[in-house]
Amino acid sequence: MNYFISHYQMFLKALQRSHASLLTTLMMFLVIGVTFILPSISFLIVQNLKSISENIQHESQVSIFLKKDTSTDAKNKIERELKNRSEINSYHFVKKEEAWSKLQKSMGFNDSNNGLSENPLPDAFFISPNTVNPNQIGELKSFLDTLDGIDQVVVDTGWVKKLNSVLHLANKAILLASVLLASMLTVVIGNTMRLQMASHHEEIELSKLIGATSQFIRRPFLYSGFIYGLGGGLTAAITLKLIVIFLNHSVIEVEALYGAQFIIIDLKPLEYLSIIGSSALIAVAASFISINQSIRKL
Amino acid sequence: MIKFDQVHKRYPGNLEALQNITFEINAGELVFVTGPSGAGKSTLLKLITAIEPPSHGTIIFENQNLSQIKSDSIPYIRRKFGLVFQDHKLLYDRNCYENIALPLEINDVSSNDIKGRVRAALDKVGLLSREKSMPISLSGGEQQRLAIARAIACRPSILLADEPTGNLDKKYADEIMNLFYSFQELGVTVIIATHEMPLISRKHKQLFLQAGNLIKITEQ
Repeated sequence: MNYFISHYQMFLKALQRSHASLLTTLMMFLVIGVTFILPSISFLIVQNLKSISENIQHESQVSIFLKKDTSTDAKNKIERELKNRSEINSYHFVKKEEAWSKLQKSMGFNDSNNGLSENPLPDAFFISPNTVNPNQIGELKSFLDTLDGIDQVVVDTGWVKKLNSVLHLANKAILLASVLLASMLTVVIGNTMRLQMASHHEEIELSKLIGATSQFIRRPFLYSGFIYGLGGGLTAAITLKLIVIFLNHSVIEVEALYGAQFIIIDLKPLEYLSIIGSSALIAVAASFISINQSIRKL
Repeated sequence: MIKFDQVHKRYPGNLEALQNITFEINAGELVFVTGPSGAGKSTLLKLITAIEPPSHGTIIFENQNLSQIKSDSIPYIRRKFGLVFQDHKLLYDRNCYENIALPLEINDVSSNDIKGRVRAALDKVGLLSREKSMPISLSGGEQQRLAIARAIACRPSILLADEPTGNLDKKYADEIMNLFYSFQELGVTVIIATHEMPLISRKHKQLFLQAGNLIKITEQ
């Protein structure tokens, strides 16, 4: 019980110290907060672009154009295969006559003035897949290519694939930037803790002389680091939330003007928590490294 | 209680601080470590409290060989001592109460007990009314008494003082010495390092050091 009380007292001591040097504490919140906001905003942008690309993929189709001489039996067999495929959400068959009629209507000509002796369009199946995974769609296309009676399978997600690979690259860049920023934070927090320890040098020296363990000396400084990290993480999370609210408010105005429907997707609560958590974790780790170095030098 | 057997202490730069020191201190004794400045008195106290390790020889404290002790165990050994320093080593950003509470916090004493023990220690040195005062507002003698209160707060079995009257006039110095005598009467082992010969009571054991050598032991 004493152990927990001792931790609680150390936490209070760290809070008092943070309050006593309020300006430094607020500056640390700001530095850590801004450092976390930068990759978080990039992450938010990528998440939104991903969501847009996923919506496009959901709307995308796989078109199967049949050979002109495909028999009814072959068509039925193809349809049976489509029914059995789990990655197909829905499909519909468009007869070549129906397609030809629609095309003529939309182009504004008829049989007498189109200059063609026969309907050039083939029968076709149009499929809506229930997956956005490019690999699964690729497998589906390969399977369809093997079926008899099919002339061509067209997947209209080529550019989405390119966008996805760009987003994948962006994710890696964010990860790399986060690692660099975390290293920078480690140095900044480490230096602050070193300064804090220097300003309590007499107390630390005396404590060691009268029997304090390294853990006892380390504890209030680790809690200070934790407070910095927690405050910085909260600053980042709150700022990010405000940015999303602000942008979504602006989007509503755009919607009203252009009639378009678009909303910025916010981070999930767990993602907000992970920003706060990783901020506290990095701060504690940086403090631990710095404090240990300082204690060893005593 | 404390046994030195052929102890040497050499600091970097081949500076021989102590050479071939052998003596024994029993529980409940009051011992003066005397000698001129630079004789090795402070080094001797540092060796007893495991602040410095010996270069050679054996130091036994309560059946533990301090020469071979693991660094993790050193803080727990130091908790058995009450230390009084010549420069007091008070924390000037904390009041008297908080200064005395520090060793109790280090010893994991519960906050309720801390309150009682701090007040008892302050009462013992006559500073109970200055509980909330900052050390800077105390006189030199009061500051040293505060340092003694901090040293006895954990009820150590052994009290070590390095030149405890160094900066004090005779009146305050006598007050401080009387405090040490009263602790010995309560059964506490007291070791006082001092070069001020008039303060040394001939009734107690004395270790005379000169240039790092123990040249004489006077038993009471």
